[in-house]
Amino acid sequence: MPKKSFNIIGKPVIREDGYEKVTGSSPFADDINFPGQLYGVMIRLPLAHAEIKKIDYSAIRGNKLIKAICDTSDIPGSRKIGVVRWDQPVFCSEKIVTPGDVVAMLLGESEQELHTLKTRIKFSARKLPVLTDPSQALASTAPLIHPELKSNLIVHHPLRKGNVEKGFANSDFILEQTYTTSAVEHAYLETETVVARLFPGRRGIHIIGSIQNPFTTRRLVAAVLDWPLTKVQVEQATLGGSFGGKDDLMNILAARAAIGALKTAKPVKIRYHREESILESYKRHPYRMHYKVGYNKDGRIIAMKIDILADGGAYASMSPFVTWRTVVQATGPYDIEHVWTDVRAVYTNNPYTGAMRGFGSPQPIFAQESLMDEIAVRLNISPPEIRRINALRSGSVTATSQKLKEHDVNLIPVLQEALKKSSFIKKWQKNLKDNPVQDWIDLSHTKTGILHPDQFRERKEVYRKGIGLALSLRGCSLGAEGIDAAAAYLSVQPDGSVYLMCGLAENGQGLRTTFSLIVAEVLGIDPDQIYYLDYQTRSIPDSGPTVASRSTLMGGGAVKNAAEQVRERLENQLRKYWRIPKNTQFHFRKNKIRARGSKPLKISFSDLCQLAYSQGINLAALGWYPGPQVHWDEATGQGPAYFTYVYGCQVAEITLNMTTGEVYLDRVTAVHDPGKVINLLGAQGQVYGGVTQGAGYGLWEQINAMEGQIMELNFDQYLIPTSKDIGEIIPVFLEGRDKYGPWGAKSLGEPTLELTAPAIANAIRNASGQRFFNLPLNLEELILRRKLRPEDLTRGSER
Amino acid sequence: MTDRIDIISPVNLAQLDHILEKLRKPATYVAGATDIMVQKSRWEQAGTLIDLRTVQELVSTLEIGPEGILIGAALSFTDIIRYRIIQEKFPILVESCRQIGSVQIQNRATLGGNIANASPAGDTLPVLAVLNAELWIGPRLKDNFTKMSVDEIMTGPGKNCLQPNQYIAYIYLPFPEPTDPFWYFRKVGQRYSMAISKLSLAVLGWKHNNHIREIRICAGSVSPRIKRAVLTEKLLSNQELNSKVIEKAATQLMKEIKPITDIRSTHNYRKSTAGRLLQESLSTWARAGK
Ligand SMILES: Cc1cc2nc3c(=O)[nH]c(=O)nc-3n(C[C@H](O)[C@H](O)[C@H](O)COP(=O)(O)OP(=O)(O)OC[C@H]3O[C@@H](n4cnc5c(N)ncnc54)[C@H](O)[C@@H]3O)c2cc1C
Repeated sequence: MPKKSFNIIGKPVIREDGYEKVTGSSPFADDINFPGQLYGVMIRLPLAHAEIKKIDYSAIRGNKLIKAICDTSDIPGSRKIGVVRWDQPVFCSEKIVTPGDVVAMLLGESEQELHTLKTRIKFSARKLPVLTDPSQALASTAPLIHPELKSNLIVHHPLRKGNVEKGFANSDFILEQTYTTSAVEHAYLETETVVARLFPGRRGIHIIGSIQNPFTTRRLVAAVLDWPLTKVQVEQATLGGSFGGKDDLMNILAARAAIGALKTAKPVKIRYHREESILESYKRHPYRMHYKVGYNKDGRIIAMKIDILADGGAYASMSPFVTWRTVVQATGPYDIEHVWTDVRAVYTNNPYTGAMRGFGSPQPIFAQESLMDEIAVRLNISPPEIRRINALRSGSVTATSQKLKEHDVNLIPVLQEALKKSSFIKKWQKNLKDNPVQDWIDLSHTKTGILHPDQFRERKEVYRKGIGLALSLRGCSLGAEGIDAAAAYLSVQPDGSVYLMCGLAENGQGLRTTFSLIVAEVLGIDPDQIYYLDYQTRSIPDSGPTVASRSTLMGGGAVKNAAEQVRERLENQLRKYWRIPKNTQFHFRKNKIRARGSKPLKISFSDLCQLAYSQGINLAALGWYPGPQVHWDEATGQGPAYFTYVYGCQVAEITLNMTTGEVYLDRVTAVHDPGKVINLLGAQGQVYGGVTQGAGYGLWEQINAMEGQIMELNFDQYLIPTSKDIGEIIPVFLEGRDKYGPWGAKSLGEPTLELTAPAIANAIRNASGQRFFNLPLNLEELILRRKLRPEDLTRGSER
Repeated sequence: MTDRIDIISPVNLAQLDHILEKLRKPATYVAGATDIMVQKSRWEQAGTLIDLRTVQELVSTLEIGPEGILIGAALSFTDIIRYRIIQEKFPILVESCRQIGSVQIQNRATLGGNIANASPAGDTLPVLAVLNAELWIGPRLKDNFTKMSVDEIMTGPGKNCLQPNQYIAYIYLPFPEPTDPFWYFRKVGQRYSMAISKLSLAVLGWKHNNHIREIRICAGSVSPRIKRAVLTEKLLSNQELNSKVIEKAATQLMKEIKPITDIRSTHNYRKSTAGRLLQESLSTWARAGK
């Protein structure tokens, strides 16, 4: 039953942890210490691909500062782990496959001394050919990264719909383009930290750390220790950013710390400094995307053939799932009859790649939304027009042959709203008129790059304006990736105060506040009455990972379910108490409960709780929210991939400096349909953060690896946007209806990021008349049409 | 690795000179510490720091003479930006100071540190070069400071010619000729704050009867040392500013500079952008006269 008016849902509410965060009093993982604690320091070999022959500890063996040296021989259980495929050793013993690899760990009281001592360790290894180019990974001559797997292919997702060759034959025009994106770093401010300690009396192990998915960590640590799940208690400390980044690596660090604690019977802490964090942590996948599109004079896209190659780096990590989202969404939010898509992820010796906010969507959206504008240019129609012609509507069928139904398919509405809010058409046309396209800087070998003198006559010719847009649909939650259900625990106390906990984790997205608001709404109480409990794996059922923008939808559903269970028991109690008919309805509002109808019956929430408690009523509930069934045919890539979708449109306005290639992001208008907005302030925060991260992805951020070795190991070289680099951001919410999620609340976290880069790329097109195919669109890309390549650096001299 | 760091904090120049005379172990100067802090691994072995921010004369001197001003080497950029006299006479210096790092960095970082650190990307260096700045190096020998120019002190990226007991005490800036100077400073970085320059360009010039009487040009991050673009300056002097001349000058500048490819940018980007920045500055100047 749709609810018409809300007490608190949809209003702007300050986060419950806001004060702690702003005043710096939140205890992060590194603030947690135990008596007698040792530090773990990692030992790595400066190699990208090698067979380990011998690690020689003789120079440090017997040193009193070293309490223990741990390696793979200390592992009682599984020596390799992984979130999907178990291919990543906790400690490498046979091979090094990327420079972040760890062969052993020193334990001691002084972290600093260990860092000095580790430089004395000698090793011998046989170097193997290094594979850095993913396009060579499947060649028969390519070195095998994991020889036991017999191939460097991590996964191949095909999708076949209609008859693509027939589609091309029936198209008036064909366009083929190739786009690439870069590896990027999550750049969470807090680096990885974990502590493990044994509980007294063989009662298991306690792990606390900057962990995004405590249940995944528990599962993998239990496998490494060969212990039952119950004996591994994982607790999440306040997290200083994650963005998908504190999954695999944290699982491995937790396993290493646990091994250390087991070996020494002392608490073991591991904490990374920034260089180590960037070196070993996984990145966003770089993609190479080839698109062939057949379209007609009237703008209708008839067929699309897509070939995508993702660099998975040294380990499979989340590659199978990241690329699965890609295959589902690679055609964008458009209705296309004939589709043929292949998405592959391969192993290389590069840093491994895995989950990052967006999860396989920012890459194809960059390609496919750039392409839409290219088609529009060729047909001489506007960017919104080409999208209107092809957009998915209610009842349309997606590339996976899923019919969009039972929710508001708000694709055209978000587009229209974004056009209106940004005065898109007017600006777009004016820019086209103001910006002569024929005179972009020409650096081809005969030209020097000097501009025509006319170009300096007016300032506005050096500084050009551009406006561009991008549109997307996004499948909510995990889809056919995995089992989708979540739990919440709610316990109302006799005085009306409430304990709340959910099986999904607070990773900085503000989920505790969102969930408190849901309970407050159902029970008609103040969010301040809710005490949010710390997240521990032993206190709540496994609810899957906190990923895929699924917390509000799934966790919120479970929280609402728990609150409704308790409310129902309270209502039954009231009916008895007031002796009113069974079908009487109630208002829960402002800490008061009233019976609907004529009788002026009312009671305060706390009195009611006291009453129920005295009658022996159970005021605690475990809420459960199972996602509906989805299914998927692996061979054809067909099926209802996700049970529902969200829609978004972002418009970017930029100023481009012709002299230098600098792009200033003046304004982003971000229109999203996340379903029902629970906390307006939280939702706006998602947009500000997502757009900023998306702009970094579009304009600056790039991890370069030379022979697998990352060049940008700290934030002096790896540049993320600062507050000075981003202009105004205007969040707009268009709340579509849906039968899933709490009151139809769905997803927002990732959609906010995935649209910004292509919107900027299209704005640059509007300003310069040029299409740029390779992210990030930094100064060198705009002026030279090339990236700074690692091989340039080896030369380090004039060319 | 030592855990101990000794910090010596002289209160005035006399004390500083005395300490330097007696010092037997290697020491490192520290002013705002914005470079020192990130270069920790280079000096922590030595373990002794000499704090120049406690030396009275170095942190507070701003002497206005008849022909120029004398600035203490340990004044922060924020201090420098605030002086009326500097705003009036050296707007180009104010502009370059404002573009350094961020407000927080400007509050700590010093002019002396920027010079001594000798990075080709130091943002005040091209500006000091076109202002004909004179560096006064201590300790005094028979009451006199050793005098040096910016291109003399810098011997290569991160290297200066100072002896271990020598330091930058003051920066002397002669007033530029007051009649209608044209100035231009532009820094190009990957982002708008907290970015090390890929490239910078400083131009200072005067016209006479529509002709360039004098022009000084210096680009940053394009060579291992800070050097004025003397050939381009020569090409432009006594010329009338028209698009032909501007194009020639830009081409000359691109020949004259020798940028490298490093992690921050490429040779080609730096070279061609330097040419366009000179075009931009000279075109602005040409327009301004009309
Ligand atoms: C985040 C960040 C952003 C930055 N952005 C910029 C930027 O945009 N542009 C730019 O040019 N720089 C930038 N820098 C570099 C730095 O801030 C400047 O070079 C600054 O001027 C250094 O001054 P300082 O007083 O902090 O030097 P310190 O760190 O104290 O010293 C630097 C070096 O100079 C020596 N030294 C200092 N004073 C003297 C002296 N009087 N005599 C002899 N030797 C001396 C020291 O021994 C040391 O070797 C940035 C640094 C950081 C950390």
